[in-house]
Amino acid sequence: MNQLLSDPVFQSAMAPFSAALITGALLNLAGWFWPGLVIMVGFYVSTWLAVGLDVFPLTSTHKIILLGVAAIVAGITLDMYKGPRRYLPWLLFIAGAAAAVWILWPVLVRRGGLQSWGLAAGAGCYAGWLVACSAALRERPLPAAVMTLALATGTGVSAIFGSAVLLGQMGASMAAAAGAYIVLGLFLAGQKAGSILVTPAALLCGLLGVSGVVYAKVPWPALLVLSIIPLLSYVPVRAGRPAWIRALMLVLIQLPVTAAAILVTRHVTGPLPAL
Amino acid sequence: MRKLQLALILMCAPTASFAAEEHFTIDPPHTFPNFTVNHLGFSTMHGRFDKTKGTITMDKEAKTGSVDVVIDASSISTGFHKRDDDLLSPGFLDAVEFPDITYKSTSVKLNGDATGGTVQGNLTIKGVTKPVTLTVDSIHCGINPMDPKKQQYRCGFNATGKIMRSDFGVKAGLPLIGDELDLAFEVEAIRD
Repeated sequence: MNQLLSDPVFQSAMAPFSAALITGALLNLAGWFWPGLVIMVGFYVSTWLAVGLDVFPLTSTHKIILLGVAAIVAGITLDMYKGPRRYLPWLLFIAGAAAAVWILWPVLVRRGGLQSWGLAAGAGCYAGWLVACSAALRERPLPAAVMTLALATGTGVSAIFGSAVLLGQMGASMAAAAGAYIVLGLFLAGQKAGSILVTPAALLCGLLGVSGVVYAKVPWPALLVLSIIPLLSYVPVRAGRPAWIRALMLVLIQLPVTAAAILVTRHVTGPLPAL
Repeated sequence: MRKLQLALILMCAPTASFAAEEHFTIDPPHTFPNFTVNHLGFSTMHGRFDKTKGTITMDKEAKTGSVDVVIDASSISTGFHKRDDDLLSPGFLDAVEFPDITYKSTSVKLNGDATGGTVQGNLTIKGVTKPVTLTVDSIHCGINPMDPKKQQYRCGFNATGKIMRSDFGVKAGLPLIGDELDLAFEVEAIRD
């Protein structure tokens, strides 16, 4: 049993998929936007198995774990909020950018000068963009889930190629959980996504991406490619078709971008590391 | 005359005690912290850090001293560049965020003939500080025979210890990649 629990494939694929599937089925009975929580359930189950859920000392990884919880709270708040949403994307952009800056803060302080400003601007724009651009997908469960699948796969596999296996595992866990959410959506009617899904998923993908660049060897151009994915999620797919065909079409639209990001990373970093 | 002798002895006493404490600066090209760790249950893998700096003081008469070492985390070398890159990432040493590994002694006890001893101190990795005891297996001091002027006085130290990497928050790959690390320090330091 211990051998299974410590297997990286189990930790980052099978465990989050199973946890998300079971939790999603149960949360679907509760209604509202709760099933959207399954992405984060998968993420935290995987992280707990891989390195535990400690948050101190406040390393970049521990900050990501904390910010995931903060993003869930923000997602729930946004789902309950009934007022005008005109300025919401801007607020989300700023919040995402601030989160990225916090993750990189020790490096920004040490480097100082123009280099720090450039790093903060690049990382902030990337995380902010993913969170803000994906916000409107809260009403569209299937595109939201496929976006998470594509973004998390690209982020996770790029991180693994970029010599950051832990960040890779974290990204892969969200992809596995998104896969479980899509499978559930094929069988359960009336599934909802909500900000409880898109806000934490997009934020964590953004933070894992910038961490992979700054703390490991993931190249910036890979993130540039990945940043296209939220836009592709808005490509209209005919609503009248069965859910599995729509899911397949969305995957086929976004998969080449995911693959391109991974190839860019592979081109820069070379083959997989051997621990 | 006797008073003068006594006065001279009293004047020299503190100086003699002060002179017994020697100050050394670590010689980086001859100082390497090494570690071994179990690899997936198959073998024992060796690694080392290539850049270390710091100071050592030693008082052979009082059988005490101090150690203050800074290891450049990014200088890790296991003989395979891709693996080193991963060991520098957040799952392991997180070397960009925590560039230094430090060890500061809290107590040094040299044995009777000052050819070994025990160092107790605090090791800091990834911002986590834990007490670690090192056993100094050998201390050998003398004039460096390679020094053209035959003036450079240096001491060599071999020390060993053990840590659990999970104690320092280095948890990636557990338990497949071993938790227990055997440490071995080969240190040479030049007297200031």
